Amino acid sequence: MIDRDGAWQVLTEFTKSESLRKHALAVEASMRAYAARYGEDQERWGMAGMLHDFDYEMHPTAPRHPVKGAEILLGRGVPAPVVHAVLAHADYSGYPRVSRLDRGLYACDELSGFVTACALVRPGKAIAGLQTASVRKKLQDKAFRGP
Amino acid sequence: MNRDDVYRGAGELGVDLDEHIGFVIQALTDVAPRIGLG
Repeated sequence: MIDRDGAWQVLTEFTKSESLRKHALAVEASMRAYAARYGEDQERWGMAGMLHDFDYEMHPTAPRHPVKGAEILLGRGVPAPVVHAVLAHADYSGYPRVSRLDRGLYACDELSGFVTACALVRPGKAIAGLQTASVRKKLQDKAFRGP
Repeated sequence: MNRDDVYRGAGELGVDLDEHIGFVIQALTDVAPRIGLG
């Protein structure tokens, strides 16, 4: 099985954007935290978070992202349950979310991005001190689009 | 940003939305320098 260093190599081979790489690391962190909470495999959960959008620059449109990318992941030794989670994080892929790993990735992806956007509009672009209520308020503010 | 995915994601995972938001804030705070947020 591929390890974290190998997953990072795959990510950086296909993803050159710094913002996409940071998003990958953010979702990885959220996934690892949830894996620890649930007593799940942190390596697998983190890998799903890191690699969920790895093919976005190559395949920016549905359904090639993430369906075509999944073929690459399998060829690089990414475990099948992780690849399934990557596929299932996109509703249009047709792959159902059946495991907690699948549901965890779906739950962490968009919210990690949204929380990041909330932090980036703060002074110093710092997440320290960001409150749940502030994020909730911006969720309800349809005009908020982030930076 | 797709807000519906945020709401649906918390529901599918079976976590309260406010708890989910707080949990993710903490997870990202722990890696803030790596992701450009502090």
